[in-house]
Amino acid sequence: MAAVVKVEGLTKYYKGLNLPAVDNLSFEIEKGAIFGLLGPNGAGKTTTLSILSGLSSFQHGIVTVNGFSLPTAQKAFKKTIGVVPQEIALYPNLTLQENLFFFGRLYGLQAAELKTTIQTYLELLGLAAHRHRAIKTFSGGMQRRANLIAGILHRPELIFLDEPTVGIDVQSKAVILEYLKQLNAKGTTLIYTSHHLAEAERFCSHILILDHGKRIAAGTPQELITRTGQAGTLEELFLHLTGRSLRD
Amino acid sequence: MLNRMYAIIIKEIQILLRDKAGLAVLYLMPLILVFLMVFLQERSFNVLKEVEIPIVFADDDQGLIGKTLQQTLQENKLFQCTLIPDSVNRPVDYIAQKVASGSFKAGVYVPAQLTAQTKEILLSSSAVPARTVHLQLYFDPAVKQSFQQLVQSAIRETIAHAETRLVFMNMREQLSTFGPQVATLVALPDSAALSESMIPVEKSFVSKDKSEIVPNAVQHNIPSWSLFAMFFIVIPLAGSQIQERDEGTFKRLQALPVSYTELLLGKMAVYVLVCWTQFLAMLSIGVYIMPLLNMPALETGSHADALVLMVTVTALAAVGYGLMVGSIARTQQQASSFGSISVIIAAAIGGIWVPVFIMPEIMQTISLLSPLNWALNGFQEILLRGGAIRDVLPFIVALTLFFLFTLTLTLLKFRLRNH
Ligand SMILES: Nc1ncnc2c1ncn2[C@@H]1O[C@H](COP(=O)(O)OP(=O)(O)OP(=O)(O)O)[C@@H](O)[C@H]1O
Ligand SMILES: [Mg+2]
Repeated sequence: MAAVVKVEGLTKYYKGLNLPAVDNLSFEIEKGAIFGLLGPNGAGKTTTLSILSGLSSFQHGIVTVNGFSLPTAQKAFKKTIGVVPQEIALYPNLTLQENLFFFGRLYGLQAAELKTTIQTYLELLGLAAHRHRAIKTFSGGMQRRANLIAGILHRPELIFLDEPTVGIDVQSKAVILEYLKQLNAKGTTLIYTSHHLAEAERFCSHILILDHGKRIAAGTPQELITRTGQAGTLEELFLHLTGRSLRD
Repeated sequence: MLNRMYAIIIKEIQILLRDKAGLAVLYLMPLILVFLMVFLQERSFNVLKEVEIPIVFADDDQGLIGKTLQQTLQENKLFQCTLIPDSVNRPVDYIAQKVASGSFKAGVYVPAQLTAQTKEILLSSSAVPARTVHLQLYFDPAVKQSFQQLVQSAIRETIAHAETRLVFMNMREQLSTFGPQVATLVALPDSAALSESMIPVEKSFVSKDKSEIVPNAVQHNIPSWSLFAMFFIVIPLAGSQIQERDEGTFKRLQALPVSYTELLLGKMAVYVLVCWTQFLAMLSIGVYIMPLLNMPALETGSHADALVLMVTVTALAAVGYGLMVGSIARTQQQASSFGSISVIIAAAIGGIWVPVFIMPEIMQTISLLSPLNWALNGFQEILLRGGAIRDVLPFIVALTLFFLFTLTLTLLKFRLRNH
């Protein structure tokens, strides 16, 4: 299996902070994986995803994604990845359809193709009836689903998802995860962060646990649980590894 | 690239059209301001403009002095001379009452026998007869000293001419006793020759530039508030950038195969278009609506190419400023308070509220620092003085440099933010 993401000795300092947000991190992600990046608040999950998706610079390390050596400003690279940010990154005053047409056109999709793609996604994620409503009038779950669609209109082979299921009900969560599973079954690689450990345990093929920007543990969910022996679930393992102190 | 630009432009327009408050600031505010200021300032501008002084005139003399005086006052462009109606019985009272009521700034009454008596006095060789009739002037007490002197000197000059003529006429009369041939030896100077004065004086106006031309209220306020409104796009423009950063859409955009330059170009295209619509709206108000309200129509000059160029560079300068504020400010509040206050200050020192030519010397110098001043000067050069592109080139260059400066800062700030 070919690695689509290769990270070696990645270190990132934000300006004005003494401690690195990502600290000498190394890992590989194979094609077709569902890779879970887990860790407490402030562990460096979003920062790592930002770097991998070409949004953030870094000080040390070698990062290769889809064969592109980062950092790169190449549009060709950006076309190969899909990004679903932690925030609802849509224009609240525009309708769902206006948002999707805008982002779709920027991906270089032609009108006819875009129309059918949008139609398909809206039906799959249960938003077809709401396409002419402004995003700001959507419920949290609808916004999350819309946020997902906007990042994958161009059908990328590699998708970064930063907490795609945060703050939504069981129904929306199920729809999103089910759809992501379908994509994965067709060969799409998913890189995903979450605080729902039970969800991650079921959903991910591989897991990397971060704390303070450092790698704490890595492997398949089953490997991780059996390796430590004393924990029955990923959540227990997580607390065991990262401790009970509160994070900033 | 074209597909992407199209997408960005459509998106910016959609966002702008949803922002009702922003639209009100861009289109309604200048509309209200321009009407308000035109009507508030109409009088002030007229005072500056040397309007004709209304004078009421009555001549009971019907002699040389009365006739010459009437002719002078009627021909003088500084005065608007009205004769009292024939039906008036007591002209002195009528004039006094008209001036007192404010209908006229001054009144002139030439009593009967004025010419006859003056002739008598001039011709008397021995005992000078006492004057019994006087030329009577009436002034509105609110009238300025300089204006009173203007009326008096015009009258004094006319009387002097009339007296000179009377002296010549007298000489001819005396000489005619030696025979009619002799009398023609003295040519009677006509009043035109007299008023030309014996020693000709050549008059020319010199000033550093032509900026002494005083606009009227419409001519000042239409371009002023148009470009004030154009610079006010700083609020929605900076706002849209900050909102994109806050919402996270900016982050998404960075993950997309589109460059920051393309995003900026799209925003610029839309907001330059906004500036143009603002300008055209204000222009049509000046040309079509103002005359309907008994205001002078806006002069549009004779160089459309210069105007197009001027509006476009002004729009670019305004857009550049908006982009810069939007990239430097951290929050919406910062952007809108700093943006609006800075534009208001630049407008005040730039001569938008109060024209530069009535400012004190020091402020006139300071006004040169304001891009709104460069723009206003450019507009006035074209609209008021019929300037062509070469006449406004300095302003065009200055505004273009300002645009490039703000754009550079915007791009620099973007690079800094991302590294
Ligand atoms: N733009 C930034 N400037 C400065 N520091 C930042 C910035 N973004 C994140 N950090 C810091 O870097 C560290 C890692 O943050 P990051 O957002 O990557 O964590 P996270 O794992 O995604 O947390 P969460 O679960 O809360 O989303 C934190 O200490 C955070 O305060
Ligand atoms: Mg995060």
